[in-house]
This record gives sequence, structure tokens and C-alpha cells, in this order.
Amino acid sequence: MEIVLVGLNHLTAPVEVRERVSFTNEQARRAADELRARGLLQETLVLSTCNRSEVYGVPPEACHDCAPGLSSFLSEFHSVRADILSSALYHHHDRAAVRHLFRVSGGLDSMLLGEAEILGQVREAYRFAHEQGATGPVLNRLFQGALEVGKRVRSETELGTRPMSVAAAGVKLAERIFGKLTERSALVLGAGTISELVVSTLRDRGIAHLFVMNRSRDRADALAQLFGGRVIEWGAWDTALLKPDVIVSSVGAEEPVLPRQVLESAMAARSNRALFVMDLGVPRNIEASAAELYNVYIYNMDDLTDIVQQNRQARESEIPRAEAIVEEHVGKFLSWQASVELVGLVEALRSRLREDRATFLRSRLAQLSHLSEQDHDRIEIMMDELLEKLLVEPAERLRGERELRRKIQNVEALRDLFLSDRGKP
Amino acid sequence: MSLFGWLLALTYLVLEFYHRQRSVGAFVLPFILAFFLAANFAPGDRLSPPPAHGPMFAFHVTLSILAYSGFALSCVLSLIFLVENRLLKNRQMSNMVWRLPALELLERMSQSSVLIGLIAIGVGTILGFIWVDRLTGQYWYYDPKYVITLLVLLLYVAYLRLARTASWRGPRASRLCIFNFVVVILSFTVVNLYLSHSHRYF
Repeated sequence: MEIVLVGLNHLTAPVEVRERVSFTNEQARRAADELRARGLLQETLVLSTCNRSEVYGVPPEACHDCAPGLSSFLSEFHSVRADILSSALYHHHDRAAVRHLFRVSGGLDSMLLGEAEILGQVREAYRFAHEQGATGPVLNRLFQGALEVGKRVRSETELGTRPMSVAAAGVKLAERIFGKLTERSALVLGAGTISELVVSTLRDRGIAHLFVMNRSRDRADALAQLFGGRVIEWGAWDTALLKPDVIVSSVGAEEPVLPRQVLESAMAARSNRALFVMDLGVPRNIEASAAELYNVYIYNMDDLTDIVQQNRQARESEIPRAEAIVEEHVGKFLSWQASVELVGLVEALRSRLREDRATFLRSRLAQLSHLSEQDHDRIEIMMDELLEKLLVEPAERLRGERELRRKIQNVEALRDLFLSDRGKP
Repeated sequence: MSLFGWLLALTYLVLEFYHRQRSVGAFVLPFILAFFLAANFAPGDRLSPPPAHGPMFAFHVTLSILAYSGFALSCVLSLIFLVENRLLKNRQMSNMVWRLPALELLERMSQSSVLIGLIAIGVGTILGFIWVDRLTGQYWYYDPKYVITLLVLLLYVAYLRLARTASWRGPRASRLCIFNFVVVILSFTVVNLYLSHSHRYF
């Protein structure tokens, strides 16, 4: 009941390689089918995101070292040269594979530590594979555990709760003031790359209306086109400042483009509806004294980078807790695995003993021909009772074993001592 | 007094339900608890029973207490608003800020709470008049309680108007709301204790 994992991620492979090894849903299905058909894996699950491609599986009993087989399968399936792939792939099995998966779903293996998206992707991959019937009891339990870990890490630690980029921090601040942004408007001053990033984040969070103002009309049009917004004449402050709740400014100019005076009259014209300004210009685009205005909240680049810095430090301290949660669940899973193995073992042992008993009695009883049929039967029953008694107690003790390492060792020992030398029944 | 606590919690639940926001609870509950405790330790055992009872009277009392709880809640929400606003305005990002509810939400909940309070006190006061009229044949007495209740009513109506439409929205409105509640407390304590005739309970 081994578990194997073969894959690559953003840490081991550059994007060109990752692109080629990623799976669409269709490909994932085909791969799972083929892996099963070829007898490489009896349970399969493909996890493919923009930052990782991994194949989790349970090999059939016979396989002792499946990794090379899986690596060459991947190389063949995606038509990627084996040597390119071999430097990028990692393989894990059993405990290491379990731990890897749990760390992934907890967001500890992500580019953006603690991100929530990966959990959804793991869930989706599991659901997909489960529907196809590609998973079995082991992977089912494994991935259920992974989802649990993901949930716990996100609810019990602060990993991933705080924004880690200037854009994210700014947008989150806007949400602190306005709540959901789904009925709000934003005005974008300056249509450069920074603006694009922030606008994209705003759109992700559902902002309703976008207005773009840029000195060069072309760039403004392009940005408006890209994100779905309206262009406003540069300098038309009277109308431009009336509607938006959020202003994102990243204009390259020596002097502030938005003086306090203009903002002040705008605020009066909009009866002091709250205004959140992200001034990302260096030097600043909005006159500094405007921050004193009533109901105006201005954050400049320094403020936002400070916040991100704070958040980074806070996050560092959350990592040990997340790792602890992962370890706990790894232990739980391995314990479950051992229990399941134990049940199978006990059954196998029982039937082996029964066989032995049958053979043993047949030869012995043949020599005791003076005994009746009834006596034969009684002797059989007595032996069965004895064997059962001998078997039950150790089995119970093993099942109740708390310490994981000991449990696994004992299960192994049981298997080695009683079942392996004559081959499996 | 504990009726107050219960109604406070109930009002909060209604607000939570209507605004579909559960995050405020964590911050409001300590205040609710504080009120409960205050209610427990307040010197309330010298109750002189009012002249008569009856359903009208019961409604009058309950509605009035409901009004108090609505106003109290709006005060609490306004306080939280002011704290958060200060942090955001001065760009002092502490751990707490990320967990606090949105400013707009606090404002809206506060207004809803005031609305509940206003309706309750409006109806409750009318019932009080009716009850007194039934009892004594006369519905108007020169009681300071009436005056201050009218004042409270006007103040809160002003708050609602200003907070929604004019340039008072935001921190100024919140401060007004808190001031209003101070007046409410005055109404409840000072007036009840010293100045009123028919509202003497202690």
C-alpha cells in the first residue's frame, strides 16, 4: 500500500518546462487510464496547476521502485526529453509523499506562501479523479486528509491572510473602508504597469466601474479596453472626482498632479463621501497635505511597502504552526494506513493458519484412525479456538497501539515473520 | 435590567441578520457583556412599583428598553468606527485592523440600529401616553422625562439625516451618535433618579 509521487514545481523547473508538462482535464483522464492500463499504478491522481504538475499514485503490489517507470511515462506522455525532465522531477514515497501533499494543500509549497487558491485546485483535482474512478481507498483517504490540512492551516494560522504585495495591500485597505467593492468605482490616473496590476486586483475583487485618465490618450484607451472601463479627459477634475470611491495614481511627474485644493472642492461637491487614494507615484502625485481632508484616506508607496513588510514578518512566525499541523495529519494518515494494513494482515494470517491447521490435522489424524468422525470434528474445533485465541489478543493490542512508529514496526514485523517467507496466499 | 441585556443581544442579532455580516459580533459582544454586568451590579433593589400594570404598560416598558438597546448598540458601533477610522486615517496598521469590519458596514449598522431605536421609542412613548390617559384621564404631565425623550428623538433623527446625506457622514456622524447616547444615558439615570415624577423607579 505504498504511495508514490512524481512531479515538478516552480522551485525545480523553469516555466518553459512546466508548461510542457502540465495536464488539461482531458490529458489528466487519459494519463490516469494509461497508467492503470500499463499496470504502473492502480490508483492515480493528477494535480496540475500553473506552478506544479504532480502525479500521485498507489502502485500495484509488485512494484518496488516505481519512480523511474513513472518518470519515463511522463516524458513519453508529454514528449519531453527524459534528460530535461530528470533534472526537474522529484519523487517521493510514503511518508515523504504524504507530507509533500499536505504541505502543498496547506499552501506551504506555494510561490505565495499560504495562498488559498491551491486548496481549491487540490479539491478540484481530487473531485475530478474521484468521479472517474481513478482513485481508490488510499488516495481517497489521503486527499481527504489533504483538504483537512488545507482548511486547518487557513483557519488556525494567519498564513496567507495578509496581503503580500503593494497592490493587494492597497485593495485590502479599500475593503476595510468600503466593505465589498462590488458596487464601487475606481479612477485610475496614469496607465502604466503598476496601474495595470492594481486594476487587475480591483477587478478580481469585483469592482464595478473603472475610469481611466492618462496624459496619453492611447495608453488610456488600451487600459480601458483591457479591463473594461471608461476613459476621461486628462485634467477634467470636476467631473472625474465625483463618482469614484477609490483613486489609484501612478503618474510619472515631478510635481503633484492633484493639488489639495482640487480634492477639497471635490469632496465638498460629493458631500464628503469617503475617498480612498493609493498614491503610487514616486514622487507623489497627490499633494501631501490632502491627507488631512475629512473622509480622505491617502496611502503612498512607502505606507504600502511598510504594511507589506509588517505582513511578511508576521507570516514568518506562522510557518512553524502550519508545519506542526501538517505533521499532525501526516501522523494520522500513516496511523490509518497501518490500521488498514493490519486488518488485511490479520485476515491473511488467519487464513494461513487455517490452511496450516488443515494440513497438519489431516496428516496427524490419519494416524489416529481409532477416533470417530465426531472426535475429528471436535479436535478441529479445538484447534481453531486455540488459534483464534492466540491471534486475537496481539491483533487487538496492535490495533490499539498509539505510538505510530511502534505500530508500523509491529505491522511490518508481523508481515515479515508470518507471511512473507512462503509468498502471499 | 437584564431585560436590557437580552434586548440588546436580540437587536444585535436582528442587525447581523439584516446586514448579513457576522464579523462584527466578536467586537460587539464584549460591550454587550459589559452592559449585562453593569445591569447586574446596578443598585436596583429599591424598586417602587408603578401604579398599575397591564399589557399596555408592559409594551411601553419593553419598547422603551428596546429603544435603549438600539441606541446603545449604535453607540458601540460608532465607537468601533472611530477607533478603526483613526487607525486607518493615520496609517497605523496594527494586527487588529485586518480583522475589524469595514467602516461603511459599521456606519450602516449603526444607522439601522438607530432606526430600530427610533421606531421603538416612538411607539413606546405613544403607548405610554395612552396608558397614562387610561389611568388618569389626562395624558399630559409636565414631566422632564417627556422633554428629554423628545430631545433624544430629535437628536437621533438629526443623526440619521446628517449621516446619510450631508457632509457629516463618517467620523463626525459617529461622534454625534455617541453624544446622543450620552443624552440617552442622562435620560435614563439622572432624569429617572431625580427629576421625573412618573418615571421614578429608584
